[in-house]
Amino acid sequence: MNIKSYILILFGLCYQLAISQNTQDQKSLVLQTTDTVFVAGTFVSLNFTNSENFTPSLYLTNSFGTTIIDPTRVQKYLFYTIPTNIANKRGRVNWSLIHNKKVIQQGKVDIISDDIVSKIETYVGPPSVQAGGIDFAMSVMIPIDTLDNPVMDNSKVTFKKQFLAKEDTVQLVVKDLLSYETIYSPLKTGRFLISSKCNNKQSTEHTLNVWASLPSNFTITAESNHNYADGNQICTLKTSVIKDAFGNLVTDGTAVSIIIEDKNGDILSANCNTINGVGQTKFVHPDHEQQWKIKAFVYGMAESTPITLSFQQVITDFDVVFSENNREITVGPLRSFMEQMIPDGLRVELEIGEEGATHKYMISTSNDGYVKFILDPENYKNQIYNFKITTAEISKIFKNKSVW
Amino acid sequence: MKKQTNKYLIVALLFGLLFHGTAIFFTLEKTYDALIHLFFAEHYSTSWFEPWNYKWYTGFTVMSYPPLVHQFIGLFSFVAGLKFGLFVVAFIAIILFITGSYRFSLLITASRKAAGYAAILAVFSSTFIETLHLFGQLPSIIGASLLMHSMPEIYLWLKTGKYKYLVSSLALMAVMVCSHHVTPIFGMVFFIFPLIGLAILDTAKDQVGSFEKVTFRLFLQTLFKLFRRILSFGLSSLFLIVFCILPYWINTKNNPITQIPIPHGSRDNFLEVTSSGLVFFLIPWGILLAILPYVFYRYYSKRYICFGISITVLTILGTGGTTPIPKLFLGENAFNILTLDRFTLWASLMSMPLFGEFSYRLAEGDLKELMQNKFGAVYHRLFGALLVSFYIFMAIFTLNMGYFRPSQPQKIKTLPIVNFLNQDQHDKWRYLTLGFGDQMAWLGANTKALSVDGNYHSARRLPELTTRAIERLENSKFKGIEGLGSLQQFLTVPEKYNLKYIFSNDKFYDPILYFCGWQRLQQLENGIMVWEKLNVPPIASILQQDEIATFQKVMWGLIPVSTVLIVLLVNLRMIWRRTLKTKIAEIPNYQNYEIEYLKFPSIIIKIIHVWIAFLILCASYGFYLFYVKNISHQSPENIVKAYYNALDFKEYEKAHSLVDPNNKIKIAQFMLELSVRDGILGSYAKLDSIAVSISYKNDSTAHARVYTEWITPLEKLSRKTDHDLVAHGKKWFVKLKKTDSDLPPNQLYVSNSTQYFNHGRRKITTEQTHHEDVLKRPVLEILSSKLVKFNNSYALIGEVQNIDNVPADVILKGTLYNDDNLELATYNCKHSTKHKLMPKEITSFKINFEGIAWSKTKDSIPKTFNPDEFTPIELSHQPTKFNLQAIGSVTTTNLYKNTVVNQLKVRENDVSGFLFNNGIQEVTIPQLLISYYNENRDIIWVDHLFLEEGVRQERKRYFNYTLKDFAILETINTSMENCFVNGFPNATIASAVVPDRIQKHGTQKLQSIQNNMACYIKVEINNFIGNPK
Repeated sequence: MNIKSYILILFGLCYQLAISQNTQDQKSLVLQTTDTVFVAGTFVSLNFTNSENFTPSLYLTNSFGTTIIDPTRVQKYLFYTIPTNIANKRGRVNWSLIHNKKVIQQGKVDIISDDIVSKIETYVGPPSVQAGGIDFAMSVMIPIDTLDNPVMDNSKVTFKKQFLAKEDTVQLVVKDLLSYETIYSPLKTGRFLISSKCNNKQSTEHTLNVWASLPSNFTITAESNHNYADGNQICTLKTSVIKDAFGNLVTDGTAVSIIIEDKNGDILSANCNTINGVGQTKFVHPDHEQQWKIKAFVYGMAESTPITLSFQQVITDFDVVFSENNREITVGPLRSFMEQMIPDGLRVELEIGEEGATHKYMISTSNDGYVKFILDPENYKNQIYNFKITTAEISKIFKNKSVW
Repeated sequence: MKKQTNKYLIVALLFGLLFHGTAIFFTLEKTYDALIHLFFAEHYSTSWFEPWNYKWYTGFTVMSYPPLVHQFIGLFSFVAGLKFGLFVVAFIAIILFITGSYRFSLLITASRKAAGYAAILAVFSSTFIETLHLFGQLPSIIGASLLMHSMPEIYLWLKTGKYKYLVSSLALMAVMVCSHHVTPIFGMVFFIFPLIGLAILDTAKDQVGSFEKVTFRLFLQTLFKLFRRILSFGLSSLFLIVFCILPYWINTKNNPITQIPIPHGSRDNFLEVTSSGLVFFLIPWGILLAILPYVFYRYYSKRYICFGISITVLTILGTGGTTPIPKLFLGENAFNILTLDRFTLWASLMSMPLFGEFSYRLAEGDLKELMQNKFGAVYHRLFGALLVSFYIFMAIFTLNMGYFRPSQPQKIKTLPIVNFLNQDQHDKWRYLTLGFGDQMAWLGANTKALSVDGNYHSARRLPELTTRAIERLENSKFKGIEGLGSLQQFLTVPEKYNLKYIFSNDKFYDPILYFCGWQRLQQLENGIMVWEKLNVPPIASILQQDEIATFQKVMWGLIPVSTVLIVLLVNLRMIWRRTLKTKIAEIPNYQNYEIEYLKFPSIIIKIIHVWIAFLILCASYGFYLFYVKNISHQSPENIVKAYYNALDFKEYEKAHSLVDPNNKIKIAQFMLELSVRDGILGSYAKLDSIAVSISYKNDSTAHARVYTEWITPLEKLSRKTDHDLVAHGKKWFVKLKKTDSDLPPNQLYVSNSTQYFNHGRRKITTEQTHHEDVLKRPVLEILSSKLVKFNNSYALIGEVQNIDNVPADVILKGTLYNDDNLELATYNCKHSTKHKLMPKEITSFKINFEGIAWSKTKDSIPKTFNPDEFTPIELSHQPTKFNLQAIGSVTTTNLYKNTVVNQLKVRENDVSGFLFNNGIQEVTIPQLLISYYNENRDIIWVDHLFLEEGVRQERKRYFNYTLKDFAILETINTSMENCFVNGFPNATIASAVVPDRIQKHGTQKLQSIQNNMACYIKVEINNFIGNPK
């Protein structure tokens, strides 16, 4: 044998010695506890006998964390009391005995939950769904014991829900810590009340609102005191009761856009919000003969049939009086349909033209049927002007008026 | 010789403590700075060694201000609270100032009587009163007082070379440095250098017997003789200045002041800005102005020549921007950083001894004799009485300046705000105050909640603030449009700063808050309105801070207080002896130079008379100008300006008195007609400038064209208004304009509306969000969106719809990317959208990408900045893609939609029409959102228009809008693949909720226009209600 072999043998012997020391340690320790399953919250202790005089530590690990504990020694007995933060949690606990930085024995125990259910943790979400049978919510129920551990799989959970006149009961079982039920939206609006029960323990009440589905087409009506274009009275536009495809009233507050196209193709618009399915808005009458084509929209979803509204011209003619060196122009009387003075606020526009200059405009509103324009000498020098006076879409032209 | 206590000094101290001690409780808390010092003091009282403060500016270090005064307030606060600490320190400052004035005067005049007079005069000196009762600059006062205390010690060291004087002078320097860093630095130049000159001259005089014989050569020789002492003092004090507040200097070096200088009144031209002239020149000088010739005469005598030069420089520097000299002398940079009023302060302090001397001579010395001989005893008495009465007038006027021109809003009770922040974990977010003045510092000291704003501008850190000349967001309205621009950035992207609550003490900011998507939460019992923004995440529990070395923290915590202990220790024996006269103290060397006041030069008395006459003349002319400017009826210009000013300040009675009496309008009717004009111009505008041009005028009538500029929270408005004016006799009046006579048809009408309430928390629990009470986020759908480039800036435009069944608050956040998916910019939608949508409602939107304004160069700051404009972001790459996040939260307020477009007409590029309000709320500011569409009815641009006047119930409001010109509108990307709603892809969520959408439904009916790119427009209305009923 050469020197190499000696060295090898020497190493081998050392190794053997170490191993045998280890196995000797292992052999000297005997697990006395026979149970491997404990109920959470009970006293859990791992007991060993040790013929030798060393004290290994117990390394414990479960899904919540890891700790290391030392035993109490009574003669040759070693008592390892599992701390409550591990013994109270459902799940597997892996243990290893460690001595001189070496694992000399290992094993596992299982902590199971208590059968007594203390509470059913319930989650319902989302808290509202849209009617129509497509949208859905889910209720998740987790019965737990007094130590907050989910109960064992296959525990029975009774799921109850009430909607309108109907109450349903469904039997569920706990699987992978929880039980759940999918709740599809019904065709009607309303509210689900949801509860559950497990081992004689009831959950609290939970709510799931069912909102209306998308609106469907509707009609629109107009109401007015008269149909004269006096620029003052108010015309009310109202939708019919807007419902969804299943006959539910759309939610209060649903925005309806009302669009009016007048005879010139100009667009007037309003936004209104429904109450009990009816949207309503108000417009002021135009101040001249007009036709309104009215249509309402819930954009992207529904629209009304169009209606047409006509307004009759009330002002057919008016007088214009020039005074104060033609610097004061009085328009009126402006008369309404019963020859009464038009209500205050009718707009009258005066267009002032002069040779080689851009036209100037003055706008005023009527007061007791009259409108007065004053041409100040600073802006309007003494010269000849053309005037055009327009109100209620009627224009009167006065050419070559000299102002001084 | 038995030394007696100076009776004048005793009198001065008694008067000083009584006078200031009484007044201080009414003034100090209303000063500009006192509450800021309190805030710092609160910091030290809670964390002595930790210099980082999170409460302001998203965190700053208190090492940016010398700590001594704050630390002492903090220490005293342990006895009976912060304010107790403040007042105790103020009392100390008063005592130090009076005794300091006495000692300095004694040094200069060498006469105990003159110094006694000076001490009494110092008590009521307007510069001291202003600094203490108006500015509240305690550190500055204490610094200056200590400087005056240290001067005799320095003099004695130079003169006698006794080391005890060196030690005591250095100890005083150390305390001075720790209380106010600027004082020793400038004090060195303006006080101690002349003092060295004085000491040299005195030593030289001792050699040759009289000042006349002192030659320049002898002066130099003496200088070299004393050089060792001068140098040892100079170097040691330099060392102290650096060492005692070393962390301050390190911090200054690490965070150099790269901010835009903040305009300060002391740099104004005092002749132009007379208010600055009053506060920064006239008041600090006060009565001293009258005897200025005497001060100069004395300081230019041979002994004081160095002081003469110093006071000349100080006087000139103190004139600010009135003459170009200070700017040339200091250089552009220093001129813009320094507040120049401190030079006037020092000049007036320097004049104090001579004022004492003058008064002594006038009251019982040679001047009295001279005047009595020359002008008679009565004149002398009158002259004295005049001086005294003017002196008293200045003191009382200065003390009560805050009463005449309140510098602060009314006192706000902070307790309700503190309670609000403590309640319901509101302090997990940052807050902002608006319109609080310096009281925000007091709120900051009282709450543990954090603010984005702050009140110590040197510590500003966010570039949004440092790039602009605004001290704080809180008073941004006074910083004009620049301030409002800065504020808007914070309001638009509040989640960047975790800013959720705004406490508003000023209605002015309401519109900007509303249009940036904020909502009113509640009014607190102290009248403060709380605004909140939905969907802002709380502050992270661990905040970033600049790490500061432990040695610095220890130095900062220990050195300042130790310096005071050392001073007390060094001087204890001396103070004991001096005050209790236990041992006859040696007479200080400087008292050997007392001159006998024998012959007051009569030329000086003549000069003083001429000078006073000149001053009176100037003052009278000033008053005359003031009077002429302010008599309203005097000229057509005056009447128009007075009318506008009266309306701006809501002095309706005055405005009514300016209206042509022939109009026969009673004040009630006048006010009624005004109240009708609610709106941005009527209720939220501040008159910025007014120019009147009288285009026509004869004896009885005139026509005025008035050009006005108004600052509103939303945009800057320029108006041109014509007014007819009429004269009755010599008095001019404004002719009233005709009001809109529109008459609503209904007297009483009924309106139903949908209203909402959200409980927030149904269960009373401290759980952050009890899961049963969490509402579902409203589902939105982005109907269209595209990235466009218009006028060289990029914008995201599009339309979004609330497809849920509950009202939604909508936040739209856009991000731009280049081809390599590099993020270039991100911003939120500001006010080009309706932030609150009813179920199924649509809004157009536009997101502008704003950069941090003017961060590039300070030169590019536009002189006339419009808050509605913005600084387009500087993009490093070409953006080609975008990401759009729409986030909905359930909202219950700001849902008024009852305004309709009742008439619309397009005439070439002009859209006109009127709105009609058919509901029961008065719309204060209507905003029109105008969306442009191309021939395929695809959206291409979104614009907005704020109407200047509101729409009352059942009334019309005419509007006029000029169409945009789209010659250079470029569409860059129309892909909607990166659009998300509440974090989910827009396409999937949309197809799940509205599977059978009617395409292009919203664009079926559009107003057609003639424009080079756009064929149609749509007009939407967003209503701001100022006073919800």
